[in-house]
This record gives sequence, C-alpha cells and structure tokens, in this order.
Amino acid sequence: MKTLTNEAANAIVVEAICAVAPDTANELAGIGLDQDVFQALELDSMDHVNVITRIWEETGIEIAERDYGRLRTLDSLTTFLISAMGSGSERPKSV
Amino acid sequence: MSETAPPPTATARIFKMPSLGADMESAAVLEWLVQPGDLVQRGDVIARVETEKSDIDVEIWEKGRVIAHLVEIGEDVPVGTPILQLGTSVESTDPISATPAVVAPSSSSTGTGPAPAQVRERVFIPEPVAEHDLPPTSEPARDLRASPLARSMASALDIDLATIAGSGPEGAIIARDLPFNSMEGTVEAPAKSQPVAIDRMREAIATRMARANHEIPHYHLERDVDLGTAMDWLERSNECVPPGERVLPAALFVKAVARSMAEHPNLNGFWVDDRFQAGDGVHVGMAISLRTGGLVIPTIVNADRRTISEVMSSLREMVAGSRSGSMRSSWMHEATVTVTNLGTNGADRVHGVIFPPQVALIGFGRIAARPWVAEEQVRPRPVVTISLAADHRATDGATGSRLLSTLAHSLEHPEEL
Repeated sequence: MKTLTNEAANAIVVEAICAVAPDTANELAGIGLDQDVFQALELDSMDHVNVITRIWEETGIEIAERDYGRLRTLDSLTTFLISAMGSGSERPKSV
Repeated sequence: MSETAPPPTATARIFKMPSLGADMESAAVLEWLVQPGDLVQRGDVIARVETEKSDIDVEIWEKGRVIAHLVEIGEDVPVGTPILQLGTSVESTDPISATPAVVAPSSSSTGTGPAPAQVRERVFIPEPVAEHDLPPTSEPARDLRASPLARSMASALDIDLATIAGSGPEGAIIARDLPFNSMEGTVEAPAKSQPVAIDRMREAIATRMARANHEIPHYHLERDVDLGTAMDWLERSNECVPPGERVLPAALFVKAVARSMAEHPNLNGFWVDDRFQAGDGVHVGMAISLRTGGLVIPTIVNADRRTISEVMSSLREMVAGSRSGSMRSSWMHEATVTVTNLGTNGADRVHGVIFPPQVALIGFGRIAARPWVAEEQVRPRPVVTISLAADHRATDGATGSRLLSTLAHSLEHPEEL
C-alpha cells in the first residue's frame, strides 16, 4: 500500500489544475488552501470534470460525483487524496 | 514564398494549406508533427500552423506515407499552397469525420487556388449578450494594417495605432514602428498566441455581431424545462463509470439540439442571397468563452449522429483545447446552428445574437432549483430556461415554438437520446 505525503498530494492537485487551465497558473499561486479554487479561477463544470479526470489518470483515485460539492478547495482535495490512497480505494489502474 | 514543389507523380497526393476561416489568407507551419517516411492515419495532427488569429493543429483525413514537407518552418504561405506530399495508399473518407476543408483533392492544380468553399468564416464569434456600443459599420479601425505583434503591443501599451506611421509592407504598422522609448522599463514580447489572438478576436466579434444586429430581424422565444428526470438519469449513469466517461448536462443539451434541428430543418442552415439554404447535416457550433476574454466556437460535425458520450468527449476536448490555445482543424467546419450554454455559474437565460449566416442560436441558462408546478403540486425542481434566437426572414415564431417543444420533450426523456 502506498502512502502519499501532503506535499505530493497537493502537487497532484495543482498539477492537474495547471494542465487543464494553464492560463490560471499565476492566479493559482495566490489561492488560499481553503478557498473554492474552481470558483476563484473561474473554472466551469467542463474544466472541473477535466481536473477530476486528470487526477484519476494520475493516481487511479476516483472522486465520485456526489463528492464534487465538498471537494472544491485545495485542502479538501489534498486530504481526500491522502485518505483515499491510504485506504487503498484507488483502482489498480495506474500509479 | 512558394518554392517549387516536387512535381506530384501519378500516385502522390498533395496536402494543401487548409482554409481555416474565410478571412484567413495565409499561415505558417510552426512545427511538423510528421516526418518523411511516417505513416499517417485519418485524424492525425500533421502540423501546428500559425494564422494571424491563433495557432491551430491541422489534422489530415486520409492515410498515406509522408514523402516530403513542401514548405519551410516559419514560411508564411497562402491558403492552397501545397505543404505536404503524401504517397498513395488506401481509401479514406468517412462521412462523419471527413472535414472536406482540410484535404484538397489531389487532382486539382497545385497552384494557390481558392480554398475549398465549405468553410466560411468560423471560429470567432459573438458575445451572446446584446452589445450596446457597436462600432459604426464603416469599421474605421479595421482598415489599419498592422502586424499582430504590433497590435498586441500597442494594446498593451495603450497606444492608438492610428497615430503611428507604418513602415511594413503596404504601410503596415510593425512592432518596431511603436514608440518604445516612451515605455517604462522593458516590455517582453507577448506570449506567443494569446494576446494577439484576443485582440483579433475582439475585432472579429465586433464585426460579426454588428452585422448580425444590423441585418438580421431576430425573434426570441423561451421555454422552461424541468430537468429532474435528466439529472437523475445522468447521476445514475455517471455513478457506474470512471471520471473520464462521465457526462455533463451540456452534452445532453447539444445532442438534444442536434436531434431537434434534424426534425426542424428550416432552422438548420443559412440565410444567403435572400433565401434560406438548408444545412448539409447538423453541425453544432459550441460557444466557448475564454477566461482571457472573447469566445471561440468550435463545431461538432454531424452532432445528431453521434452518441452522447461521443458528444461529451468532443466537448471536453474542445473546452480544454480552446482554453489552452490549441484548436484543431476539424473543429473549423462551418456550423449550421450555434449553441451557447452559460453553465453553472452563468445567468438564468440568454437572449442571443445569431451568428450570420446561420438562422438560429439556442441558449441554455444555468440549471437552478426553481418552484415547478406538476400534478397540482409545487415542488422544487432543477429547471433550465432554453432560449431560441431565430432569423425572422427564414422562419416565424410558430416554427421556433415547435422546435422548443421538441427540444423540451427530448430533455424530459433523456433515455431516448
């Protein structure tokens, strides 16, 4: 079972957002950890699904649609990734 | 510019610089993505080209082996110039993915003939809300010739180009004509395509929308639709699939519009030479707003014949590509109708402006919980307001109403889509 450090999890999230919306990279640096990052960067639902997909491709961790609402900050996404990785709930797909 | 191309043999075919918009006159290859000897397949991106508006990934729609590049990187060549020589092979062309604008038939002359006519002006489109300060139709500023770099720098420096004397070809203003000495500090050349593209885009939108408001007698209709069934249906089907295959309401909207247009062909097509000309299929243009300002409208060709997941993956690629500045040539096909979807953070409804020469634009406001009366009960339901902006020269309100009814029915019965 793999574990994920806080930094690594944060980097995965940030990298996914940068890949989907490279034009927001500068703003992203100034976003608070507990801010709604999608709203702050004006990412719409299509960008959002692209970010979630990117995270899934990178880590194998699936964020369910019902969790979309509560996983909108860098903090909550990072924490979610760490616990999902720790509990081994990721699909055996990649990593 | 054009070098002498190796004479095509009986079996060789020539791929020409495609027209990616009626106002595109020339483009330069920035990067070759295929090399002599490579085998290309339909849909492969062969090169990235730079037009005056943006960088575009050019796809090819036939198979073959690359024989030679016929132009140098960075060489600005007119539309229609042979750029790639291909060895013979196999048949290609499937009716859905073949975008005829891209591949010139090998039989035609290798000169710089006119671009294939299928693509009229594309890509850049209207702000879907009414504009109040439209430029006069004489378009004073557009007559100024200036290079994209000069335009973008002038805009960054807040310099009026009309006050500058140009020293470029035909008196065009080029970057070095700008008064650099008046600047404070150093100004970096703008990042490759974005600022330039935005500038040109604003101009294109202004011209198009001024023309639309000037020429087209619009009529507007609206209809509210209860999306409860559709949202439940999406939630259920999304639960069992990985994130990459999940479908958003926007894909349902596009598919429903495409199906409805097929049933109401009088709204699907163009107003040209004082008469309506039906589209040769349902090609849905999707207005995508850019965070940096402006819009692009890539097209889903034959959207009525695609599955919802195919529509969804096209939308995802288009949104990601448009916003990261990499458009694909297959998205440049001329649309027969345009859809604007304001999304989750948008306004409740849109009274759109038609993209000429099309005759209809369909807008979706945000999906919001609203009180809804059904079976004599008021309940909160997820509701969307669909609006139609249509050209009164081509159709009347009754036709438009029927389209909205069909559309409402489709969205209330998503399983039929």
